[in-house]
Amino acid sequence: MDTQLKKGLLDVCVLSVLRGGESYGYKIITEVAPYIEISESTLYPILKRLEAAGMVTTQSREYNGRLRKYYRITDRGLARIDEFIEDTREFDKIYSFIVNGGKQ
Amino acid sequence: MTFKQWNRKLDKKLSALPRGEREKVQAYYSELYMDKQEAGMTEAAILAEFGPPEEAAARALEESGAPKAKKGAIGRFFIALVLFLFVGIPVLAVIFSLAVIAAAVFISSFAVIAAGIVDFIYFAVQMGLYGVSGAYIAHLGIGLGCAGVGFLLVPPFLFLTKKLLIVCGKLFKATGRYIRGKREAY
Repeated sequence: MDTQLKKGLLDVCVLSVLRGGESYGYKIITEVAPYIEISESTLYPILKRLEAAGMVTTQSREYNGRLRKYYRITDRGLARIDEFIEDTREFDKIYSFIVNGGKQ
Repeated sequence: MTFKQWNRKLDKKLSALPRGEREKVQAYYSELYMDKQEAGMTEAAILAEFGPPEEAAARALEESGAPKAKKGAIGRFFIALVLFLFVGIPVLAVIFSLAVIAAAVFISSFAVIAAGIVDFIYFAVQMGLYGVSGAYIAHLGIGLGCAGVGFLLVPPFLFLTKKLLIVCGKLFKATGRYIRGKREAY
């Protein structure tokens, strides 16, 4: 899959996981991994990018005597998911056009 | 490789980042490591999933805003030059000064002993040539006292010299590590 396309998809996949409630690194990977290839080193820049864009907020809390960072989606993150869904509708039309050999 | 070694390599590769950022990346991997371990995974399996530390560092640097790696030989040459000029030379000067101080401290105690003995011998000869006088006897005493003080100074000065040389060595190693780390990061 194209790197840029995958990058965009992964961002939305992570946001989708967080739409179901706050989560942490390991859980996000296990939930996303069955649908799209994701590794620990791939997730870090995604989370950092989403945080910098104000789409997620973070909070460190104690768990089993250690700190664990929890991520929560913001309104901007939710808006990004909606925007993506809109984009895919448009993409569907382009896809049909390509599949039909350039005929409407 | 253990997780500790993996983490150390990662830290080295991230040395272009500020300490706070490096700690964030390390905290991220430490948290994942603990979570995976609690899920029953072995250290080897976890590290296999993490991949090489170089790759983890490269991905972490992507979003950090850190300067992009200089791939050309000229870029690397300038980085090495800047590091040498602004880090290497001042640190070498400090190390050299400390080593000179250490040598001077070490020699000074022996110089005090030598001065005391010379003073004693000189005035003993003077006394033999010109006869006993109060001033000569006083000088003999001063010479002996001086030599005694010199002997007393040897152990603490030796200790001080040793410590200074250890500091020199540590400073040298730390600078080497710093420059190597920066170079590797690029």
